[in-house]
Amino acid sequence: MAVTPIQAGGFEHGLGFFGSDDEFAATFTPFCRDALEQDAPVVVRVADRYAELLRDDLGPDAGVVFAAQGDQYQDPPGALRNAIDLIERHSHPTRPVYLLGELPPMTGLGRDAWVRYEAAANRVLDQRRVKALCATDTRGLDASLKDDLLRSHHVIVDADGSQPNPAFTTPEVAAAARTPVRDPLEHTSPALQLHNPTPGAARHAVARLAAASGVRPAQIDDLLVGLSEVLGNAIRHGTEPVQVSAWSVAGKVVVAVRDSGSGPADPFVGLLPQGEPGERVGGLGLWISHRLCPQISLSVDASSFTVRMAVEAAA
Amino acid sequence: MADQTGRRGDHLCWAYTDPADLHQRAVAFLTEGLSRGHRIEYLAAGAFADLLDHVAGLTDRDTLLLEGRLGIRSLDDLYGVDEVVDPAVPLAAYAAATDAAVEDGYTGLTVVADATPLVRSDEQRRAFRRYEHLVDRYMTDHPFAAMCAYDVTALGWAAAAELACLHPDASDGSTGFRWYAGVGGSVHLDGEVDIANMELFDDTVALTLPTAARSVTVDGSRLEFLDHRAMLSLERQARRHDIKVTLVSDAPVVHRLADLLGLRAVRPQWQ
Repeated sequence: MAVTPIQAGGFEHGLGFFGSDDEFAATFTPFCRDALEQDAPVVVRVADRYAELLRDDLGPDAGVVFAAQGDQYQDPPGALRNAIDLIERHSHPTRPVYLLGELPPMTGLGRDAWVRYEAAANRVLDQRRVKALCATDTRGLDASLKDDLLRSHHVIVDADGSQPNPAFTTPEVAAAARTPVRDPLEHTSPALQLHNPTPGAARHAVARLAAASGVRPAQIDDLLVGLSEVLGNAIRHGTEPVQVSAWSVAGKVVVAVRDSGSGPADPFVGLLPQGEPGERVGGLGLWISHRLCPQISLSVDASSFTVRMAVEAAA
Repeated sequence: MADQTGRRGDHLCWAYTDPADLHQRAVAFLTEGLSRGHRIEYLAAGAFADLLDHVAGLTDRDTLLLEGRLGIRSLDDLYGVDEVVDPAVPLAAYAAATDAAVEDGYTGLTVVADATPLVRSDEQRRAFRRYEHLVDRYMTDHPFAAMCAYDVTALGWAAAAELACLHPDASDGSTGFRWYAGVGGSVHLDGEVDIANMELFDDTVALTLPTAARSVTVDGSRLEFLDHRAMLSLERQARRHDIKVTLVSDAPVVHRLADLLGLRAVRPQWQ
């Protein structure tokens, strides 16, 4: 396979497409072989059935580290932290670390945060000697999601080999250009609308609304923390009027906090690892919201900034 | 006013806008004191005759007064205009008065005090808040009960909240959280702390966090919400004094945030 040379000392982020088990093996076995031939560490974190396909191709003791998927994609900032830890654990003095993983769950409002996560990885990891490849199932892949992902990956890999990705752009542009995500419930009238509420009033109103949703109380608690943090930001940093809307149906609760400002300047706000406790002075509210409520989207339009969050009962 | 905190409604803050309503509450609080066998006292600014009128609703008021069971005192005789009260002075006075009541055969002392003139300026209020916490701790192991009244029309709601939050019980709407003394040097934290009252919380902890022992227990069994700023405030202040804070709470938010924030000086504990 023709492998695009890694950027000097930097992070190479690849998007690997497959549409069948055969294509999975054909696309990702060469990536692992390339690492093994260079004597570089290679860590694979994919579903068991895909790991089996690679083991079949590479042989049982090829030297690939198969890491458990666990809850690696529980939330975007946690996943970034995990990725850094994984890289540090497997780093090599002269060789890049090869990482093969599946894409995060690009569903619901969470798609917005995970698309930003894919772009943020390019910023956070840009000084790391890493070749990462995101295994992407093309079956049912939404066209706008594919466009979003192409902006944040340097190379495209498929069963035919690897090539530079002309759609790649800077992390900031990639984040800014992402497709807006809405929850379908927003097409219905909100069950609750509050104008310039205090965080306490908003928490109590949403808690009352969510009580009948059937969503687990612990998830609702997390949503209320996120709501409080996001609304606190809107009050402190945003522009009035601030509006809180909420929807609740069986198995799902959605809240949206809109203020009339332009939102935070940092496109990766809420995603990046934080410093030591006690040294922290701000910017933590959205980070906490992303950690506790990964179904979260941020959007800016001409006249407002909106944060949406959702919690759902497990299927 | 009995509650589950171990405090028996012994320290109540009444932030009022209607004096007639306050006087009614005062009479009810003093009557409760009588039912506990306490000596009672009413303290406010103004002429004696006016103060006597305020507690006109007390059954057998004049008899109680003659027996020495009811005391009525004017703040005007005790403090100068705009005086900044040394927190130790009223504390010592009430401790002595409580002892005297017990020596005289009563089970304790119950006081209603409208201290509005003593908390008009920031400096006055700061000193008086220290006193409020000291006397609150005194009440945890002495037969002394007090209702502290503050006139919101004179002070504003924000100033009233600075005082109300230091009481185990406070009139509706006067404060979002309550930070008050518990047994064995512990502190209780009830209610909700978020961006709306974070600065007050931070300042209240700075003013009153017990730092003499290496560790302090904060009983959050009636804590409903605490945001990350409040958690970090506790962490920062605990570190500054090199103490450990055990925050006892079954509120999931407390445990989730402590974990996420990687707190070291503040240790959450399930009840």
